[in-house]
Amino acid sequence: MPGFIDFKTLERPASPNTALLAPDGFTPTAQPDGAAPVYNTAPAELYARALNAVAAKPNWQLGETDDAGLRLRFVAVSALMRFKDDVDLVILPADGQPGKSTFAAYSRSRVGYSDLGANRKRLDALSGALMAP
Amino acid sequence: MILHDRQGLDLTGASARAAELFDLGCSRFARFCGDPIEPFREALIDSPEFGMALVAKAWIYAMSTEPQATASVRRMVDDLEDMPLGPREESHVRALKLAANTEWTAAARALDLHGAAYPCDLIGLMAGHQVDFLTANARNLRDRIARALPAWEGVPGRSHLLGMLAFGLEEMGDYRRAEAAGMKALELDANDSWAHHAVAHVMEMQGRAAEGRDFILKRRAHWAQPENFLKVHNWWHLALCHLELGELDVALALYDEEVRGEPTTVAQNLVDASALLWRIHLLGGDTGERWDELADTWTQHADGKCYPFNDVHAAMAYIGAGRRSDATDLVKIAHEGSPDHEMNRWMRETGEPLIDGFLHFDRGEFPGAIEPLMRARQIANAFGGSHAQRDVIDWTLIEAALRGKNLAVARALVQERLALRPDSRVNLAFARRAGLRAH
Repeated sequence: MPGFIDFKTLERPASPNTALLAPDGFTPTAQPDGAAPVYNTAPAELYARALNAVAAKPNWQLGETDDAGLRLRFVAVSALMRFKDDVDLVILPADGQPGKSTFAAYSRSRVGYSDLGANRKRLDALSGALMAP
Repeated sequence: MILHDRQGLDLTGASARAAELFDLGCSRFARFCGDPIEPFREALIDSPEFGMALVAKAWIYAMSTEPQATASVRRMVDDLEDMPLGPREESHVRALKLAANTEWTAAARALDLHGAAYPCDLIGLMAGHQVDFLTANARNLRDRIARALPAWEGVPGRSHLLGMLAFGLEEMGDYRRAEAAGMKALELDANDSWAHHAVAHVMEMQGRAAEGRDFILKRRAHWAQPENFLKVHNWWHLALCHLELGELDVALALYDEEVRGEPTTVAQNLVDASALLWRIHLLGGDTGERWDELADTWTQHADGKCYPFNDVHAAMAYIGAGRRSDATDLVKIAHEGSPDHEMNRWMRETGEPLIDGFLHFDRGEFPGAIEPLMRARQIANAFGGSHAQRDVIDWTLIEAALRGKNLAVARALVQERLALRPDSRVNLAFARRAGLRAH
């Protein structure tokens, strides 16, 4: 995989095989599908949770990490066929709320036209997993 | 209200959306393109009591012949037994139970009966066709489809039957009709990867290497899509064409760039990799450290229990990587199991002599390789694979006879090959080394 994506210049394909969660205005060139929750925890703690969440999923393979930038990438491998989806995640401070954080994440399939919602479900699952300390 | 699939059969427990997803999954399965599991999984989320969606998913898992996936099939069968099922689903479950226990011949029989009752059940036919392949049952590869085909006049999806029929005809040596059926299937659905592969088999078996190469390459947009799960096998077919044309370097490049270009862990892809690298090795190609990567990858599937055809290909990789004891361990495991179990029988009767022969060959004990390979090579109704896949056994055997200076055996075997493919460059090279005067 090449380096981390730049959320500021991200462009999504027309094919329905991606999902993007991001705060308003964070991805000026791509329309998010929604925003991630705001978590009652500091960004560094949420980043640690994200690392744990990826490690806990047998079909999620952690790739590049950037501890200073609170960024990580992982590959989600589908059952049996082992098709791969790439996920980029960056932890963000929640604006104006000390001790709170959120994230932006982009999940996309490497192959196929439609993902039948798999990328969105993955980001929703990630959102849920980050709730647990 | 009970909905129906594209072929008009009941889909008990399905909503309209789940029925659509079911047809999408079937279509992906039939073309070997796109993830077929995802639509069935989505259909089950939408309609948790949709038995055929779980049946279809279970068959695809079973077809993988991977130990972990096979364990999943057993769990799916348990789940199916807790669902309200119609007679079609119940019939599938009877066959799936046998498949989940890797009693493949019995599973094929159950699917024979199923097909008689439900000739337009696409999942039943596709599963049966793959089981016939897993059991090297050439006759049923042809006849299962022939039995059902008359019921498919005007039924959506008929072209997939022509593709399957083409492969069955090819395995029965009826190459002219096989090619015609395969080409008709491709005319109706250019993206039918199985039909494409059936025509590639015809060209391989007839020694039409240049034509096969051109056919495969010309149609690559229809079978080499990133999401195509038969693409590695079709790249393997292309590599065989290049080997036949004496282009060892091209075959090796295809191994690196396509067959193992993305280091997949899918067992069927590993089979192709082992079989290609072994052929390259026999032809004197420099395989470098490729065996090490392949052997490492095989360790997650080769268990000496689930499917001996895979285990023998794993053993080839282990032998190539210098891990002979890992190869012999696979045989030992089979001896620990019940001789009544079909997979143990296949391993003892076919897998063991093949591995034994390959080990002798690897050690340079060429005379010792001949007997076990001769004993095991005439595979039918057991063990699995296509004629093209199993040809690696004959290549090894002839090499053993030539290198062991058993010219009588070498000449006999070469004559056998020349009778089928008199213009084959590989066969003619064998003939020259055996001191035969080919035409």
